[in-house]
Amino acid sequence: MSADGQRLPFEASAHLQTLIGRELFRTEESAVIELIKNAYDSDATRVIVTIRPQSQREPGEVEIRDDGVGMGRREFERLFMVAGYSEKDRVEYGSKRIPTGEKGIGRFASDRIGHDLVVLTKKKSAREGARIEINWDDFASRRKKFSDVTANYREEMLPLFDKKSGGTILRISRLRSVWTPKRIEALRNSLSQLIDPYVPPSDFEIDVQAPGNDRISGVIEPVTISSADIDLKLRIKNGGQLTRILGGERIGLVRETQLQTKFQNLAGLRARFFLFLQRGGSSRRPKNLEPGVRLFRDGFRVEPFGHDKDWLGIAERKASRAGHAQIDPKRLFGVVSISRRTHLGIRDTTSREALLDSEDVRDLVTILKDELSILEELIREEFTVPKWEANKAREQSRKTAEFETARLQTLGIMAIGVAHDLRQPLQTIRLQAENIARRLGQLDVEDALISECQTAIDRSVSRIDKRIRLFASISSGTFEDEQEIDLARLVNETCEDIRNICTSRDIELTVAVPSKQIASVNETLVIAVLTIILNNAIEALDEIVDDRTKRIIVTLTGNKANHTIEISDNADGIPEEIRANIFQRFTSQKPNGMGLGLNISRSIVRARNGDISFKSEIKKGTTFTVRLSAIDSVT
Amino acid sequence: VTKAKIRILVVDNEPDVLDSLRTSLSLSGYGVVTAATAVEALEICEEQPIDLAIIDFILPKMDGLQLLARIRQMRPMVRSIIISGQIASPTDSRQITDVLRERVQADDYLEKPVSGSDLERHIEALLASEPSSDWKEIGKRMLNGQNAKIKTAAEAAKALKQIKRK
Repeated sequence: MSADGQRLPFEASAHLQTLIGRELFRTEESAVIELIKNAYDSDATRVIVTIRPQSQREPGEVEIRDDGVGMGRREFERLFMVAGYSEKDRVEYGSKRIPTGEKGIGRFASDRIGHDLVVLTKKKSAREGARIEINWDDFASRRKKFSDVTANYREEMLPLFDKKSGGTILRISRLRSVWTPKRIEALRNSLSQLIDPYVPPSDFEIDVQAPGNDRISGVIEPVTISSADIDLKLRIKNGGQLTRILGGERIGLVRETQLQTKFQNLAGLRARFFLFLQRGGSSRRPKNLEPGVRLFRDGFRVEPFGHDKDWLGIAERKASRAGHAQIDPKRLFGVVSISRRTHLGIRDTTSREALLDSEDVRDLVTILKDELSILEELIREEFTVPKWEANKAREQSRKTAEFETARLQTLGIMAIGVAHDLRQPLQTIRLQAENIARRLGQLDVEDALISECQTAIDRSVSRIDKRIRLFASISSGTFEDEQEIDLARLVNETCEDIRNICTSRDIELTVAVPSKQIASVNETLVIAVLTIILNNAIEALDEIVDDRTKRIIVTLTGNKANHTIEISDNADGIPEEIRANIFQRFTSQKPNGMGLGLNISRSIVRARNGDISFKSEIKKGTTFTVRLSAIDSVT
Repeated sequence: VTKAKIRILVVDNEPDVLDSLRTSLSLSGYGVVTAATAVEALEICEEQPIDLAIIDFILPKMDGLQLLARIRQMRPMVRSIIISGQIASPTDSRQITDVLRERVQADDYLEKPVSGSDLERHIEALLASEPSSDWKEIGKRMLNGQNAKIKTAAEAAKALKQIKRK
């Protein structure tokens, strides 16, 4: 017999099933995940995984029930019974769902979970459903052919499904391992990370039930991160245009960048990276989420390169830089979303646990790595300085702080001495001026001018003395005691003290206070705060170059417990860039200003349950509001 | 009593302040003696009667309060005004006055820079009020510099003896 002209068929050993079902799926969890994906592909809106672990009374069972389209005899034969057959790769743009799998092996995953499988399925339109029983052990023989193994198929009424509903129930029994609550919890956690938190699969939920254990039963929620120190959002639009939005707790203003890339093949890609800084971070790392960058396709997680968690080379980069890398892989959380519909070049391996190497996959990795480099550069520039520099800076700031404290203490001590010293010549000036006038009077020189001069000297002495008192009080901080005084009188007097300065500078000073307003306050403090704010206003008005009428308006309002003093000017306002720092020490608008006044004033007022705030408008003016509260009335 | 007959002792270590006070009080018509130190002041008190002492709080070697106590031992009926360049809040100032009255029986406390007219007002008020004729009070004043306290009649009698010896 001639041997030419014959065609020999390939046959598969029944053992192939063991290879597919049991060895392709690394864990039982991944097998459950595969079956859930199948449910999703069948247009289910809800899949319920019920796990009844083995016990002395029960044999144990894992049930996966979906409300998808279900299967009739024809579909069952075509879709279920032929290994490696799938219609899922025929992606139609109008279809309801984007299939998550395309290999036609998902059903064999149940072998990984248990020896026996019962499939109960019913099409929505059909009256009857079908019951199929499979014993995976039948495939165990290497001598048997694949097609020698049969499944027991029986059509029957399935009371488990409503008349009008369809779906598929997989009942897996003779479980291969024991499902402890801890493992169910781990499964729940895996499932929660299976769903894309930002582009979730639409109209689909997974419910895992462990009867008798409410704690680990219920609908799976995707793990989301609400805030991070750095929050980077990426999106590639049609034509390869990339939008990068940088925000987060440590990034002041959100920055948006748009640029053109060559990655037209990645249009539709979305990615979000959350980074938690090691030092100076203000957000908390999520505890129930494993760090790393997760890839989701159409709402479901896919493993880009098997179980290589470091598919973007972050840990590798860190290792190669001996601790100088800016991104700590343990502090980076990322979500990358792609779609089978738009990214046809990104396909996964049979096990669905890795992506097939392709140009698109390499581009995906390239663009994400590039973006992480940009992020790294940003952190290097904005948040990190080399250690020795940081130490140097810290040492420097410690010294500066020490020096500042010492300087302020010295100033405080000096201020008291200076005040005492200055009051001696003031005493002499006041008395001698008075003496001259009186002596002239005794000598019968009654002259209005002389008496005016003496009065002027006396008034100046008073003013200097008040300033000295203020200076000494601020330096030594004696604002402790409060007493009942007429605040209206005090505000009036303090304003009157500067009226001459105002008049000489063409400033209209208006004081609107009630005839009397009793307040329990510290007199020195009120004078100090008012004087500082009034002087600031005068200096701001001095800067005005146009010919508007310069005005300061001081008003006092309130009741027995709360008092509000408003000081408004119509100067040019406080420049926006220094508004935020106006109450900070050593921030001053004035060429010779120390920037101490407002800082100290507010600290003291706040310590006494009051507050100082301001409103400022460029070219319009500034209003400072001083709120004073009686300590008793608050506590 | 005419102003000229009233003798005021002014003690201040600042020559300019001392001069201005002397001039001011003289212009008001009082008899004024001045001292730049506590020792000088005590010498003056040994030599002549004094009705009122205006003493600066801070003096070198012996402060104003110690000096007042020593003067009181010699001349228990002397009226006193303590003046000071120290900064105190109005409340503190009133408290200081109270403390000085209680502890060293100082009659008044004024802060520099005081005006001549103010000073005169205080002096007049002080002189118009009756000096204490209470021996116990006088003994208290005398013994203050020695840290003695008079609580009983016996102690007062003892103090009286001491005063009479002077």
